[in-house]
Amino acid sequence: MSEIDEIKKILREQRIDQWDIYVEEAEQYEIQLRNFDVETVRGPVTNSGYSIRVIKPKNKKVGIGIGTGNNVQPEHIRRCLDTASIGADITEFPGYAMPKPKVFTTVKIADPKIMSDAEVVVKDKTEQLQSLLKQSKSVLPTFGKIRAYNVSTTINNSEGVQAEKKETLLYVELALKAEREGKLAEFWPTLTVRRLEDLQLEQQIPRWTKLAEDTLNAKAPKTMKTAVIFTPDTLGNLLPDTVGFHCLGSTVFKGVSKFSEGGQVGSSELTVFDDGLFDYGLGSSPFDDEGTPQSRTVLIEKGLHKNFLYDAMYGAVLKANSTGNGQKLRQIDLKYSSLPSLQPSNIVVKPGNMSLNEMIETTKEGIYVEQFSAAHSDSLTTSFGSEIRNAYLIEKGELSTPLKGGQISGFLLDSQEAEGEKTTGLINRVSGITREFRLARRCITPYIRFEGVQVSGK
Amino acid sequence: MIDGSSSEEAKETLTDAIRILEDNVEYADALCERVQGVQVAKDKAEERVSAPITAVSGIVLRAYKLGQWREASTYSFSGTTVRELARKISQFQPMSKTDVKLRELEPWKLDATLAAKVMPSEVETEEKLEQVRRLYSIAMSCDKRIINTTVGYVDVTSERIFANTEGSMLRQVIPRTSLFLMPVAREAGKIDYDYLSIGGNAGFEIVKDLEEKTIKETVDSSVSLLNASAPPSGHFTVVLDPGMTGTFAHESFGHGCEADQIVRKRSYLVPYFRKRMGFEKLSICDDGTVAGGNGSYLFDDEGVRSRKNYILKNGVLESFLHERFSASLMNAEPTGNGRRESFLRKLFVRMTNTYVEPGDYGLDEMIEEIDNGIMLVHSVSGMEDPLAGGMELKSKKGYLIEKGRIGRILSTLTLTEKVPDFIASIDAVGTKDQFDTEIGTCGKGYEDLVPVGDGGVFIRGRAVVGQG
Repeated sequence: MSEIDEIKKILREQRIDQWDIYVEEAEQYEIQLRNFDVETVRGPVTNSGYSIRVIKPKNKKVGIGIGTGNNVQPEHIRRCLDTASIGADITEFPGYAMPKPKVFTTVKIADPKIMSDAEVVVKDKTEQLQSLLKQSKSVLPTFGKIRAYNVSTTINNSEGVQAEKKETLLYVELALKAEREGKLAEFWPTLTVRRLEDLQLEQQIPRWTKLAEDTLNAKAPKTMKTAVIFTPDTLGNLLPDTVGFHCLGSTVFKGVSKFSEGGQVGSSELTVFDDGLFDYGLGSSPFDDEGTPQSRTVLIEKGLHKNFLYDAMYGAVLKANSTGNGQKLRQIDLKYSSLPSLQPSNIVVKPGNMSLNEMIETTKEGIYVEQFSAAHSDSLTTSFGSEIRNAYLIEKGELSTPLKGGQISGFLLDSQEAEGEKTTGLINRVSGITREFRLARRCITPYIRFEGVQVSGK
Repeated sequence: MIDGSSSEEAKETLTDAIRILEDNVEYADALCERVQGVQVAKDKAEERVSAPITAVSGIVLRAYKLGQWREASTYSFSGTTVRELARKISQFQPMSKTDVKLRELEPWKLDATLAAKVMPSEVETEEKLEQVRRLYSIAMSCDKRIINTTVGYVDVTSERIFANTEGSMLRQVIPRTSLFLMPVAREAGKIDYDYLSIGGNAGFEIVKDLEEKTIKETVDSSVSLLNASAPPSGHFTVVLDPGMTGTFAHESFGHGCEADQIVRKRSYLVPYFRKRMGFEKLSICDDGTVAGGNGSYLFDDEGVRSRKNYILKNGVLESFLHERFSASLMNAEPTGNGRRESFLRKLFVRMTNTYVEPGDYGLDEMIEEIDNGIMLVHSVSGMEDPLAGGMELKSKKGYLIEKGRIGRILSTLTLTEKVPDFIASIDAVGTKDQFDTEIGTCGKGYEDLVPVGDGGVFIRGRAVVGQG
């Protein structure tokens, strides 16, 4: 690529020894709906840019600087390099081991149809969505979005790494409204997938419309402690920020990880991986954003903590090999401009033996939660609490009254309380894992039932 | 000048694009955004200097025909690329057709800067890092129980140039600077933290002028949370501090007032329009003209002047917030609330600085009257529920209120309730001297983040509380 050659030429001129170059080209198409009507058609929306990282050793530490730009004229590349060079001069990191060339494992991250014509895919999927939604007589869309991305990425570094990939992404967001006798209820799903096959709109739309309709009859729960079944979508919001976070080498270095190698951290039914090579996973890639091969790492095996995750920096500092978890955090069409940091790729929970039906049937009393308001957990303390948006009471092994309002809360991991008391984390109170599993954000997980979960209501 | 082209060249590029579009569509506009800035972060292990997360520059063209928008965007400032895009979207055929005529507005001109005391561009990155190191050292030396501190400094100077087929040509430059400081405390196996977050339409002065005692207070708060209990669960009389009040005004009430939700038939507030929802001392404003406000600007991303809008006035639902299309459909005036995250994202109705106006209740008076309640302090986040009117607010800490007195400290709380029920339950609004604001970023649902401010005074109501 011409911009990479130009940047390399200038790096040679300036005698910079340790560097990497990240180049990204992104294109998106999108259609947004207002009710059944097309409100806005967007595209092409293009964003392309590059970043240059410069690494400078200083005593036992290193300086790392980054410069970003999207103009490949030599004077702009020089300006970008100056910024990176100054950053490397003034900053201090405890260490860094520049990734060396390695063989990358093949992993599927692109849908050929989206790659060949994202604009047509978005139009076709919009028409399919409109058609499926019109089949429901009682539920109406209030708004919808379908957006497709095509992204190409290239990484080169001073050790000789040359990595290239093409990936796709499709985002769907809908708000579905049910109305009866002046009462309103909603189900507001989002889906992010890499390939069209994972959208499954034919199956999803009837399920989503039923959730909206059932919520019309919803009541708020009472305050109690009970068994709660979390769906893959709810777990997809909670597990990466808690289990994933406490498995990062950076949390060990900073003294905040709740895990130690070999320690009992969860129920014996629970096995969790970080799998950067899961086909069509959102965090999947042959290589991370530093050019290290991504991998599959056992984090928790039968409740025992097994391994931590590393990037090029914390691998060097903690004398471990990078597990390929150096990730740029921004949205997919803006990744080039950020510094990589140590993050989980895909958190994968090993499926269990029971079916979802069996799980419900064996729940005497409890709650099945389809969606929370915003079930994000505090990474450091693993405390979470969120309003119930769409849920059902479980009575005598059957889904009964729909629930909305009130809240569910707890700690994901064991937590030390004031006055020396300990609270048992949810992952130590697992009483069932289904064999059905689903991709939910950067998580691939079954349904999990936890016992003794706090519910707050009136 | 950013990335090689001057503001005048950018204006010419937009004018060329508008010329191509104007003969083929009912209305068109063009927005050029150029952003500069730096993000500096430090903790125990890392010192990171990079471009801010919102530093993205490009041009978006938008055309309107028969009730539908057609947009295209590019990161490139090349006149040839932009003219090609204009030609592409000028020929669009709407997929749906309606007879909504877009409301016409008077063209106007502007070229202005919402300046800061110390413009971030005038300060070297090294000095910014030095200040971040200073703040880190102060926090780490305050108390032996502090095991790590994260300090994050971000400055973003955004230049937005807007042109449309009505003849408006506008330019505004807005610096926004923010500082985040989070000391993490640990003792006897327990870890907790509080944090400081300040900023707005401001410059480097927010860091230089930051006093040690403010950092010490944040450290003390982190340490105090080591003795905090989990909150009780149930329905309580609650007191919200000004930050929590602001999050309530923004997330719980404000999002339902965004008129694009009305147009979508997705707001629980429609039946309440011009009706009483709360007592007469309760008023909520959205105001894009607040001096120094994180959500302040001179014109929105459709070229409409920002202004102060009452959404709830003396307990009555007064008005909705509009962009151009919703105003056209509802025969209302655009209120200056059309915003987009960047040229990569669509424009929606968005809030600016949203706050509860002061009332007449002293804080002591408010607490003395509570037999068994909870005070929620230091807002962390909130989530909207525009259709069903639910609410979820999270606070970093809280206190039990027992027999009219502040009691035990609590860590991380969640408050939920039906918004109309919560508003109807509010019976005390604090005095002017309590007024305070916070900075934040607001999503339209799950994405599309824009800078906003919110705030207010202490308020008292009833809601469900649990662990957060």
